[in-house]
Amino acid sequence: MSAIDYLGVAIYFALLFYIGFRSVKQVSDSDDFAVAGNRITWPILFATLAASFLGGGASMGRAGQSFAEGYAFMFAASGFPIAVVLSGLFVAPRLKRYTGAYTVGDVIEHHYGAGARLFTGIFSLIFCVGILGAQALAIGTVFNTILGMSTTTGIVIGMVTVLFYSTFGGIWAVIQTDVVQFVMLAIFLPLTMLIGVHEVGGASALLDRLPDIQFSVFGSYSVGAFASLFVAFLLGETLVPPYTQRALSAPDSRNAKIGYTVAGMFGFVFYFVSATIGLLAKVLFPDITPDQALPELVRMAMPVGLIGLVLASLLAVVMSTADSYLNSSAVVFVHDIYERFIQPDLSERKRLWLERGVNLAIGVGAIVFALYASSIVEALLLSYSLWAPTVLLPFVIAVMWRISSRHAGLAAMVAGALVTGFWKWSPWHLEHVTGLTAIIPGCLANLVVLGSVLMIERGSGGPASFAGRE
Amino acid sequence: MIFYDIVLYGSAALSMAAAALVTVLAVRFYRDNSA
Repeated sequence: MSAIDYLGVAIYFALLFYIGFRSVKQVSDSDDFAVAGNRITWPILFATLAASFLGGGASMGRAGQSFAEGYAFMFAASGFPIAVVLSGLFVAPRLKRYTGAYTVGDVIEHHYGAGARLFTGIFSLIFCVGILGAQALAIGTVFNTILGMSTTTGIVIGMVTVLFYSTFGGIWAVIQTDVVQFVMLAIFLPLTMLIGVHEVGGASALLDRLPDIQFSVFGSYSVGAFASLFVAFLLGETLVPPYTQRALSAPDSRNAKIGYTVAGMFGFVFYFVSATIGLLAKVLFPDITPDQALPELVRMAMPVGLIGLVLASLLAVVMSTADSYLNSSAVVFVHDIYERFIQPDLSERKRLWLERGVNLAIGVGAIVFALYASSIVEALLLSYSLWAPTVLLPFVIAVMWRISSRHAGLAAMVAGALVTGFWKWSPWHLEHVTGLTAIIPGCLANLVVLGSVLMIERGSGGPASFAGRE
Repeated sequence: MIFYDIVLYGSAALSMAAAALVTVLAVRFYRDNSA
């Protein structure tokens, strides 16, 4: 990389620090730290949500998978942007009914009581810290593969920057940096694709130089395997804590609806761009490993001056995801666990400083895990396959149909977790033997128990609903 | 072939247009909120 490329990366980091300094003034209470005072209009919501859900997996991961398998993986993964569009049309607008809500746990408690909230809070925390650790590792990988810098130095530089602006500026800083990061990824990754298409000799040359199976919808997947993967993407990461927090940050239902729906539609475009980059790398550098597809195209095909900006965009992709999960971890711990179950009489000032302190502590913890105990990050990431079979369905059903129950929510969460865990990790390897991803039986168990407990409660004249805090 | 051209170049154009739109609206948003 030349000096001008390093300058591009340096300007990007300087901009993040500048936003961090400026945002301190905008955060005067916990409302500002967690939901930006409910002032996030749809264009900002669109940018921050897209930047948050388009992380290392959607960029380098998607390029690597299409390098190996063609567009088929992208078609299967499109379950996720479909889920974002559907959430935008049906769930996000309804979340604005919950005045004063900050987290998924707030909504869950309203419908299912304190036990379900505690489960949701603890689970959300584990989930967010796991994803944060994974993004910290991805930041190190980007520095290492493109700059040749050690992974350790890369993790420290990237995560200390994220820690700085998110600790002082809270969600305000996260959202403002997300907008910068969105603009960078939305310009420079398509530009990388266009330059790659030019290198290959045009779109028709790309079509000619790869076998047809690389462009087919199912590729080498069986219909069952494709459907299983599609469902896993449709449900796996839908409405996880940082994304729900974005909907709660909107001023009204209309802004939440438009911001979410447009972000979902942008997801299709970005997935296509990333997957095409993988195919271009397959033509230009057939002997590399799939995970090198995007970094190699940047290194070999980009002109001097652009390499630095594309590197900054790749860092933007992972850092914008890391900052969102870090902020959510702090908000969930303070709001759903500490304030609700340990010290309910927190003053406004103490709560804000506690959120900042927890933000700092979790961020430092994530750096340490990523550097010295990546197996802990892997263990925490196991929670990824448990979100949909535990919290997601009771959450969506409650928001859509306003059901309430003292026992159904917690019972369904526990049942979903047990069945998913058994399917995935039992000695019989059911996921491997049946070819059915654990999320499907887990979600079915979750739904059956939710419905059964609701019917039993209503049949016995028990509490079909109870006073919530809406 | 022509369809693939449209999807390829159209997706790049859409993405960059989204970046331009967000930039303009974000500048307006920050001006309003820092006043």
